[in-house]
Amino acid sequence: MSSHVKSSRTLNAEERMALNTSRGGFTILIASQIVPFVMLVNLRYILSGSYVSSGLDQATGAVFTILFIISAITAYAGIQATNRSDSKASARMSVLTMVLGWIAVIMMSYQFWMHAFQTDGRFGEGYLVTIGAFVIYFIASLVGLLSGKMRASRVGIDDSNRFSIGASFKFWIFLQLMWVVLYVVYYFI
Amino acid sequence: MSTLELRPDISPVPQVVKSKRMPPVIRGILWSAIGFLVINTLISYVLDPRYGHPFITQVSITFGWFAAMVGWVLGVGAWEGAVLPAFGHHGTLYTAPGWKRFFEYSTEHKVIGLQYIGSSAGGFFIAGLAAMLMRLELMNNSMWLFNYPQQYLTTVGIHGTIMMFSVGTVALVGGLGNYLVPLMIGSNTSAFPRMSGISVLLVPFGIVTVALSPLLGYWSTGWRGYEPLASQDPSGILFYYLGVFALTLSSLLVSINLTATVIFKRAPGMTWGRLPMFAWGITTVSLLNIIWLPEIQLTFVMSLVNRLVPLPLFTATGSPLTYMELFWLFGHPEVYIVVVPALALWQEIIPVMTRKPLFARQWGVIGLIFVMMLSGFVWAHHMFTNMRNVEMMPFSFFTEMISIPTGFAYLVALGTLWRGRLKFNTVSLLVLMSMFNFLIGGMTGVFLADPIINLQAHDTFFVVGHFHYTIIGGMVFSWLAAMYYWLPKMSGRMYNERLGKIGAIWIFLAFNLTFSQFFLLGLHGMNRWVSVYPSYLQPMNFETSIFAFLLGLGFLFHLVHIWWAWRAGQKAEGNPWESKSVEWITASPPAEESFPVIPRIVSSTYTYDNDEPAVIIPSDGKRVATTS
Repeated sequence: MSSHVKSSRTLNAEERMALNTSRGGFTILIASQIVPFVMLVNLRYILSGSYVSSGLDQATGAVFTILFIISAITAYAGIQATNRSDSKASARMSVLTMVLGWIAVIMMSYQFWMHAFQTDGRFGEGYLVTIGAFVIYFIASLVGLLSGKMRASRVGIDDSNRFSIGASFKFWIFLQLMWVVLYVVYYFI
Repeated sequence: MSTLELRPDISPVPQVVKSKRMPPVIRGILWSAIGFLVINTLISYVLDPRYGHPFITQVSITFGWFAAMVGWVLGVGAWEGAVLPAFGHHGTLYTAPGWKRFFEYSTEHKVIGLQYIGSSAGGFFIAGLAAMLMRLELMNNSMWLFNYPQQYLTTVGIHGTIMMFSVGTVALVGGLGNYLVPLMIGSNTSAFPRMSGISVLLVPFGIVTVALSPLLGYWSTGWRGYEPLASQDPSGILFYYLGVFALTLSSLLVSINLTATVIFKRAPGMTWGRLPMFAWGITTVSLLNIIWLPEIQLTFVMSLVNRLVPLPLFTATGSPLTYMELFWLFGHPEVYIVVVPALALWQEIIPVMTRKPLFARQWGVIGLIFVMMLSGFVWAHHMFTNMRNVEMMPFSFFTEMISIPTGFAYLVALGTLWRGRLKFNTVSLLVLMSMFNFLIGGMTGVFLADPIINLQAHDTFFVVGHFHYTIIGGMVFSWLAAMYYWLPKMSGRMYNERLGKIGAIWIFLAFNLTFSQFFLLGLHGMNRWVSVYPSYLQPMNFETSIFAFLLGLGFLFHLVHIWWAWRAGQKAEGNPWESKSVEWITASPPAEESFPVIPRIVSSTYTYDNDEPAVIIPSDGKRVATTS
């Protein structure tokens, strides 16, 4: 085992409770952050029913959605690396995840750049707001990944920070799952 | 015999490292100003310059405000305490001694709780000053204090926004919740102390933002931010959205923290069946916050974007009703977010004061949970004037139904009072007053749930009277009761009983003489949102204002009294109320580490029908009596 991989040990009762607390709090956070996405889906139907703009390119959408999905897979690999305390692999997966995310977001904004569809119509308004909200979450999630990456690189991964570094990957995966739902809702139904 | 004489010494003196740096609040203001100037300048002169090169634009001030908020939070201490460690650096967090620790970033739940209470009290008096200005204006039926109706409406908006988002939502949950819940469940910390240390800093920033909103222009929407009205207002509404964003973010973080604390940090033996009622109240309210605060935050973010881009989101594209639906989905649960902890406080305090076990405890818990659940089904009664009869009926039904679980709180309290030997002190007096006031608020709420009355009384002072009876009458009176009750715990000192009672009677009379007349004013045709009204309403408005000023002075009297008692009151006994609750086995005030040895809870903390202790300290196996 290389030097950047720390061996894990069995947690004592206090550490287990601390871990459960972190897990519980993170679950509550995720539950609360589902609410805005439910609202965004509702908003889409309130504003424009099931109408889909003809200017919206499903294929381009599929490409950056696949990129987001791949980034979720690399984030999952990051969780695995974090769980085995492999700080180098964890940091590497953070960087890869962030790069994939950036490429996908740039592709997402391309259609606005090209004025692919009307953004001040009933459909476009909701789409614009949804994308905006997603990008704000995306930036927050990037900050989380960056903080996890720097911690993994600087102080390594041990029992005290394993969950929080892993949580930044988990939040990223949550966000990409939300995007897949939004993609289906906005591009197809 | 008091508790403290029986338990081992569990209050070591904390080691304090003196700080030699700039005072954190000054540094926070400085960093905030720098953040604002840099980002605002960057946007208004470089990234998004507008015609004429104004220094402040709507876009620049929005992003500048975010930078200022981040600068403030980091400057006060989150930089060393939370951010540097999160990025793998070792920050050195200095701790100031004495009172100065209340003016810096802290991870101690008791300090954070008091910071929340202090911020909420500040918000209460700022919003109260706005209320006094409103009542001053309404003493005459013409514009005589304000020059323009927009000035009056902005004052109404500042009053309502600060009261709801920084007092109603914050004082009992962020304040008493942070201070008491970990103590009540036998924990030394809350679940996420770093997050909690950051969340409290958002409150003063949010209050100041809303209070300074007139600098950007007036706004006329009140605390509701109604669209499309908001989109027609001058830019002051921007600071409404941004200030409320900071305040709701703070409450959301508090709720996540306290929910996790109650679930995961309970001491051995603190089962759900023994969980104190106040902790139950905080848990149910936190669940409401976790559901509805993200909803209203996104609504306000949409409104902000609607204005900045600009988008016709709630006008040409959506409908004004879209916004109203989105707002009131949160808006009515908000009332229960404010009130449920107050109901729980009654059930926490009354058994101690009557020396009787809490009557029908399970029904009290069921009541709190069902209030929480039903609160999401009643929102549309705020929009009856925009609905057809057939649409109103389900909401009318649920609104009337919610009075049933609310009534459980009364039955539990009354059952406990029944044949009890009530200690008739300031605390119990304020609890009884709160129960009376909330009863009036609740009953008038049942009237308003009825469409026929609602359509007549809509947007009149009858409605204003109703919700002030619930919020001030229910929540603020309970807050005061709790402050007097736990003052010996927080400060180690006791208030003056005579002054406390005088103050309680003072505000009770002034409150009822003010707001009972709101019902009459409303029934006589006094509308909300107007500063000019028919002359026949002027005499009653004049005398109502006099009582309102007396009420304001009464609250000021309580503030001064509590402040005085905190600093110079008589030394209190360790457990002056002979309570069996866990928080009273700690020192008063508790040390930084409240429980050097985590206690074990062996029975319900409401069993006042026997002398058996409810809590033991397991270090030496010796039982520790929590009452005489």
